[in-house]
Amino acid sequence: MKLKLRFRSTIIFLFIGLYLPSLLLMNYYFNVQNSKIAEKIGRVRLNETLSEIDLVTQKDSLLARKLINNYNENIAEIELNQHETKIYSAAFLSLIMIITIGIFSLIFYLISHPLKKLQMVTAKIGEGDFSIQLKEDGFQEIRALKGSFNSMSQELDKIQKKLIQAEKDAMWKGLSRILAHEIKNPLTPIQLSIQRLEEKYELDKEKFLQIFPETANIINQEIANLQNLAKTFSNFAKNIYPEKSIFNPSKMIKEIITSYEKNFQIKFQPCDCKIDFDRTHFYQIVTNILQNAIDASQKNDEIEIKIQKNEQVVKLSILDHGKGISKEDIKQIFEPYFTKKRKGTGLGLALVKKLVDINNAEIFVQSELNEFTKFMITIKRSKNESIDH
Amino acid sequence: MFGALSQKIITGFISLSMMLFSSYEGNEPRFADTDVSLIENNIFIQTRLENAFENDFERIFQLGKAIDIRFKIEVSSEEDLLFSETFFHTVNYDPLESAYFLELQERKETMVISSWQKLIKEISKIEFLHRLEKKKSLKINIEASLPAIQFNDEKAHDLMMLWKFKTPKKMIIIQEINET
Repeated sequence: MKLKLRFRSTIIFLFIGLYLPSLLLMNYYFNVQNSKIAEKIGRVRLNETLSEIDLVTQKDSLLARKLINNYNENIAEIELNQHETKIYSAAFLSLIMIITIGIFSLIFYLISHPLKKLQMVTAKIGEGDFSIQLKEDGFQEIRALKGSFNSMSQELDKIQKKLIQAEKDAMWKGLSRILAHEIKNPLTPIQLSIQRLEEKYELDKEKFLQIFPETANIINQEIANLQNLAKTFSNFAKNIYPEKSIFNPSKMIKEIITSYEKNFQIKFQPCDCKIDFDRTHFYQIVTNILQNAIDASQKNDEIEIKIQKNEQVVKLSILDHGKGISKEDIKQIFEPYFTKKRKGTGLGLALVKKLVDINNAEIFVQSELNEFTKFMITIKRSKNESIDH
Repeated sequence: MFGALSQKIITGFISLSMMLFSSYEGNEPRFADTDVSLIENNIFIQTRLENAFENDFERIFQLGKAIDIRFKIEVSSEEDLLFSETFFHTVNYDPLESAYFLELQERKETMVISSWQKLIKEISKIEFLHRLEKKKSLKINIEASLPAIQFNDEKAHDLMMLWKFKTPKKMIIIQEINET
């Protein structure tokens, strides 16, 4: 039969069953010893009458010797009892003390150990590992606590799986909708252009030859848009692994803005610093954000790019004074297929976020509608800045 | 070996307990420096118990019963036991004469002593002579113990309690024996 011990009842049981009887036993021992001493002292008083005996005959002497011996024997026994009491009570108290300390240490361990374990696995749950299960043992309350914890982690695991599935479903639904829409957009002008060409070919061959180059150009343009959409989607969908190297980000930004500077006002504040980042990813990030800034700005608006450093991080900021982003939209700008551009794929900033994340950096955005938009990227500084690939 | 270990644990535990919880003084018996000499194929061992009888023994020796203090001497050479001898110092008291009768078994002597101090001195002294062939090395173990005494059919009282259950022991190792 398995003994089910509740924590409080165990403590009470131990107290009543062990500590209390020990104290009672000790008390009993003291009482018995004291009563023995009292009894012996009573006998001693009787033997004190010896002094009154007149030792005349040998028989008297024998009697006196017997009585004195009896007297001495009792006194000796009293003294031995007293010594015994002192020694054994001390040993008994020590034993009780050792047992009490031992039992309470054990109880302390039985309580504190599972709690410590629980604390550790809770931390793991916090890190997202819901597969952890605890062995349900120990006191009943501890077992119940572990059982509840196991149920909780199982439920969290199920909920997480459901959430992931729901997210996937939502993503695919959104993706399908957007992709259908994006594919449909170029297909309509292509279809209309072909219909127009067919119509003119049958009815007016001269006109056909006249409109053919322009119509073919439209068709090619729309096919190019479809190809671009397929390429961007492919880039976003595939798994990307960073190939980090240490380089000066200012140099790369200077190269990027060279091609834009002829047509746009770009102010750049470089910094003498190095980062440990995938070069291609850094290029993609900067060009994407810069292109967005250009798209949002008027022709004469200034775009400011700044790189700063402190002891821990390098901060890159790209600021435009264009139309800005509303508070509602700013929450979604990094979500795939969210776009406000007429010809946008909605994958640019989602790709930027993905590239920033896989390079262990962080991206933030601030914006005021019709005022400005500022993207900030925080990159940890390279520990070995002397190496430049 | 197990017996010696358990004895050490018990005496250690009692000593600790008394240090923590008891005011009992008792005695701390130990053997004093020991003289060992070989005289014409005889070994002569001379030693003395110190701090063994000063406290709480006077009444015990006067209770009218013979009290035997047991001594044991073991002599061995290179793990071979050469001999093991047990002898007693027995004290008896005559209340009418106020004198102690002391029998020293190893010395084959009997004394009548009236002084408590002299009694302690004589009872503590060991002068042991035994026949022994010449050996290259010797190991001598000496120990002393007290008996348990019983009063009026009650449970026996172990007098070792007065020594706090510590058995005084002494081991002497002699590598080269110089004949005298």
